[in-house]
Amino acid sequence: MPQTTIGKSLLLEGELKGKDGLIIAGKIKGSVEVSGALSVEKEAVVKADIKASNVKISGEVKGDISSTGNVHYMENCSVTGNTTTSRILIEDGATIKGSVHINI
Amino acid sequence: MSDPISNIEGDIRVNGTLSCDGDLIIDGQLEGELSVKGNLTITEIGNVGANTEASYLSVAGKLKGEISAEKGVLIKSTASVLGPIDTSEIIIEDGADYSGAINMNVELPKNL
Amino acid sequence: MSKKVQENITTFHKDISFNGKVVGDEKIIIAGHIEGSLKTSQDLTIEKSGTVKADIISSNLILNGTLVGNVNSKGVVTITKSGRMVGDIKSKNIIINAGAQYKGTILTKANSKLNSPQKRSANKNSRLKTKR
Repeated sequence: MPQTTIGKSLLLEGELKGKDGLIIAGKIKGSVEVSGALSVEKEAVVKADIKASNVKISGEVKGDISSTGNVHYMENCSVTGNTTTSRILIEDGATIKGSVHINI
Repeated sequence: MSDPISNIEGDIRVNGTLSCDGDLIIDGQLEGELSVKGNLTITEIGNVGANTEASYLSVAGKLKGEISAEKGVLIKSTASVLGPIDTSEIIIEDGADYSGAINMNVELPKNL
Repeated sequence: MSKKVQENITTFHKDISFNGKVVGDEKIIIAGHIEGSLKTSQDLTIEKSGTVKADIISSNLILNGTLVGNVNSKGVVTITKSGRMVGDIKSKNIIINAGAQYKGTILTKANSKLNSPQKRSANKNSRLKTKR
């Protein structure tokens, strides 16, 4: 089975956690904690604190992001919240409202 | 000698319990109470309105009543069954009609 | 590595668990653990490794895993060989395969074939015979 994919039409309200990676194209309200990589797709709206290894954000996130890997803010993404990670990459057009802590 | 097989054709109305030590095949209509020690088969043209007890039950016709079958139940695609079923295993084929409560042992994992 | 999102299917991998409410308009496949409630206008499949404790509203439902909860299906509910369920089912039709385990009340729309047997006294043409 491919990794967990929350499709475009889905709305989740609650706690999502696990050992695998995750692709979010729908809406999540609550909390997200995975040990794998997380991708927030363009149409996605995530109102939750996020914990993951690598994080790629193309959509909207309202919550704090805690990454054990790197965080990639894609073009036109919107992040409201604080990020803690060891490496970031910010594309042109990304919007970040909050602080970014890069730990070495 | 193997157990005799009994066969009901036509219409039978039983006041009291019809009991059978061996297997029973019902091709006709029966109303009353049924107790079969062996296998009970209700054929496609069978029509039974009875509380029914059997070792194994196979229904291809109509059955209405409280059902108890220790070894298992097979509800075939042409069947129409109404009533609670107490059993250890059940097969309901595609196209079968069933409504009622099924009581069977279900093994659940620890996380449920 | 970027992956093309399959827009019409949501999948929950076996190492993922979700606790809460799920509402959607697409096919859902569950191989992990879900607790709460599940509602979709499309089909829902619980894989063999899936464990679900939730009431479900869906179109067709296929249960290969374990479900504790009530099902309200617009279509057909199929419990396969590895399926285990405790809960009530309301659906158009239900299929239970050999090996499945089910406990609960089933209500299907189609129970119209059943007529009460006609009350008639036994007549000469009735036969109750024993074959040896």
